[in-house]
Amino acid sequence: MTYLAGGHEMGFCTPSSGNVNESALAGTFDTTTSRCSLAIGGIGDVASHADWAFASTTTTPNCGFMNYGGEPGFGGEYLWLELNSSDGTRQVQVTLQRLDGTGTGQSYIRLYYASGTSYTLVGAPTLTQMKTLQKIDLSANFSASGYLRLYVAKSLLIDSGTIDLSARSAAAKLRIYGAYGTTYPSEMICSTASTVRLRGYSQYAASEGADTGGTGAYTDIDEIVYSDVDGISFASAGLIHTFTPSTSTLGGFAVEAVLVGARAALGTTGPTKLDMAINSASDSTNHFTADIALTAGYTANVGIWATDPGTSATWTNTNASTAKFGVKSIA
Amino acid sequence: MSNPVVTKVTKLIAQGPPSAQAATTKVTKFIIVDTTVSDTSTSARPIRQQTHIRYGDNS
Repeated sequence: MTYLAGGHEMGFCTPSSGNVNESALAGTFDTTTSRCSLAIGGIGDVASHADWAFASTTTTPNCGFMNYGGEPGFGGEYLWLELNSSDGTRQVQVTLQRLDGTGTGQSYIRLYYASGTSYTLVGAPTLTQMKTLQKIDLSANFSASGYLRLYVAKSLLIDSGTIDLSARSAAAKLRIYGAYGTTYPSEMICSTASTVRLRGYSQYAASEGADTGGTGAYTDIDEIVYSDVDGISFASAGLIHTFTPSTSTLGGFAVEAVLVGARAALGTTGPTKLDMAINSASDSTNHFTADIALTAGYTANVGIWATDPGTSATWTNTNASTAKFGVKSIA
Repeated sequence: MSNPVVTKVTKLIAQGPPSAQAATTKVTKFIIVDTTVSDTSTSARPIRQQTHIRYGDNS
């Protein structure tokens, strides 16, 4: 299994409750694991779509997230989940459509795959309860003996059986968006194998770490809603700024990976790249990702460590939850 | 009588990181955990039982 992307405060996502205060809870979500849910853009509002770029393309895309469907109101498919190729072409689509006026949270969930210029429905539209915080997982295999499987609350709800999906282009990103009402996704996880068993814990910067390179403090990057009004800037290469994470109690769960995300941009001069940094108590040493090229506009960037870089072995819960995280400027 | 001298004083407040420097405005950490070893299979599972409520033409 290779992790492709993950997180839920990735620099392009904002809480859907409208709460903009730093370190404040927002949305409808599991407070033991997260501190907010995502805001999603409306249909046609491309700028606010939440694209989750994968670390690599894959023909076996799997994505999972927690979702709360909100109060049903007018009709319309109010949450779309897409697996797209690198050029943005939709390959697979999941839609949730509430039932008008029932007030029960009953919603239809549909699963499609692209077929030429149209879309083929997999199975039948299936009723499910969306007014409950629960997990939605999509598992796909783009091969001649392929399949599409959709899980709700860890149960298989729609199964294509074996179908030929060899014409599908490799998935390069996940896109979520909605319209006509409220929905609260959080804890996005994308990988090359099933995400049904996986959950995510979000941590934010609670204080400074061991390094304070650059100009700015942890209070400039700890907001729920991303804010470009403040931040940490780097005038030269080789500057490291790390942070001590907020507390998460992982219980007896086995840690699969630790990710660091940063909303970042380059300036007119100075560093043009950034590394994500992690510092585990196993060796108390900063470890970095490969260089990530920045652009003039702010983008979301992520680093993924499937193992503890201090030991090259599986993360212990303590080291995963306490590992400091941050960024390093690169020329 | 001379005209009064008008003086306008402005204060510039910098907003955001300097545009000439690389910057980050949000950094987060995310931990993925395996919630149950017994639930790793992607093979067929029992289909969730749903209460079928029809309300209008939503099929």
